[in-house]
Amino acid sequence: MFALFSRFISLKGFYQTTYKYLPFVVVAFLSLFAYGLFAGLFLAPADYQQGEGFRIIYVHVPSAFAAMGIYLIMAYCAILTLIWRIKIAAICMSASAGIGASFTFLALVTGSIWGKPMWGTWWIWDARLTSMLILFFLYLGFIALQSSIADNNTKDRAGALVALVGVINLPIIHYSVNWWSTLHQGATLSKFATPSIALSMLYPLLAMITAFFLFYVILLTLRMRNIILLREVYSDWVKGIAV
Amino acid sequence: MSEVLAMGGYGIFVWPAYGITLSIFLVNLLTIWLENKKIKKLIKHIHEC
Amino acid sequence: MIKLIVNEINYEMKSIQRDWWNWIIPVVFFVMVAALFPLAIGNNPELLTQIASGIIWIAALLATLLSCGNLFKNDAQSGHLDVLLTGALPVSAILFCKIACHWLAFCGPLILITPLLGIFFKMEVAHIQLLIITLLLGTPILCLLAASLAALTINLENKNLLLPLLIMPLFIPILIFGTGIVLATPAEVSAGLALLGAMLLLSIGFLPLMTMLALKVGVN
Repeated sequence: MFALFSRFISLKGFYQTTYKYLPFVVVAFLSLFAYGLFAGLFLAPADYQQGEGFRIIYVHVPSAFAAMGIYLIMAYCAILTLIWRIKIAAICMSASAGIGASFTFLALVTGSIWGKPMWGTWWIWDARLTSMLILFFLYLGFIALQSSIADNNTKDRAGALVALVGVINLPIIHYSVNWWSTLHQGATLSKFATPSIALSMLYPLLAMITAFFLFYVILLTLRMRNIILLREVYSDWVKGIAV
Repeated sequence: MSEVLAMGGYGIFVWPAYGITLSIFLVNLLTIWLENKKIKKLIKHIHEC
Repeated sequence: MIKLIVNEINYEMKSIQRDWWNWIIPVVFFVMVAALFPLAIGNNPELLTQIASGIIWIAALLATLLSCGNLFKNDAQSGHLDVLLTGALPVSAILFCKIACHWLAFCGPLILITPLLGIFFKMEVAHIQLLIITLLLGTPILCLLAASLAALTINLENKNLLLPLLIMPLFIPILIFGTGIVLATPAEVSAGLALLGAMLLLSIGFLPLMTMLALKVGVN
């Protein structure tokens, strides 16, 4: 088991091992994404309540899951960075931040576009949307902090602290916003019921969720390779790369 | 074809949503590729001097 | 240990008392921010009374946020911080004293002036009382949180709004509870106050340690 991971832990090992395995991930992603798109847009039957508009779910839900999941992965890497100082974990954390921010932005925008025809408004200050907005701010704060520190070591550890503080606060924020939205229950527009979902609608959704996760892996790998090149720019094994 | 575009009246919401998704995917890939080009240039510069 | 704390408190209070202007600036800022809202929204007394607790809390939050950025600046420049971190003293205890004195000096005047602002916004007396209690419980948490993240940004030159950006998501739950309690039903008030008090105790327990960790990262 350790042999499987040991190839990825050193920076040079990561760079060279991913070069071999990345094409498989790309193929898996493309096939799942193609199936998800086609089935989601054309094969799945129209919802009787929401009509064809529900198809936005196939991009909204995967990006929301990705946004949350990536933050958890960042938090895990933050623990590895702070306690064991594993460099590859720090690089993974830095690389994931931008991707996570994109997915959060996507979740917010597609959610907003979905909300307009379904619930009549572009935005509503309810628990889930506000929590996702705050998650977006957490990502942006992390990116801003990391880009303002030049020294790699400090950058990793400061970012790790901020990511950990953020992940600890995320449940607190979510539950307090939940309490807040039930408190000021002035004019609720309509209930946000989650209908039970038919199988023919479920499979494309699962495919898209997996596809989005695979896309995160692809982007992460590519970004990590860039960062590794930057950090190891003076070493010999990098010399052969640009030639 | 026009009914695919219209999507039962919701077309104006569904297609931009998918379009934004794809464009964000492409923007991410593009930034990574451009960054990579810059880094390769830097490496070449460093190891030639 | 007691002597240590007394020394530290003396040191902090003296350094704050040196510039007496420092006592007044946060209050003026606080009142100005609160005054911005009527100016922006228009002179609508009923509306203002409804949102008064929110306005005052936001003004207090902003004042705390902006004043905590400079918490460690003087010490970092004079080298006091390096001595502290490399010494044998219990750093988190000293940090706690430091933050406590900072809270007294900056947030104390704010809380003293809050009744006046409450009267300006025509709040009911009961609401003003609740507001003061929530501010008393909430602003120390804000100071502790802000200090833990300010420790990370000590050596950055071009800070601008980086620290507020980092801190604000953490402030949001406290803001929600603080303002929510003022306008809640009596049953919820005691629950909310208990929750806020619990958050305060947790912060006092853990955040000085966090600040110490962050200082070690920030000072290098």
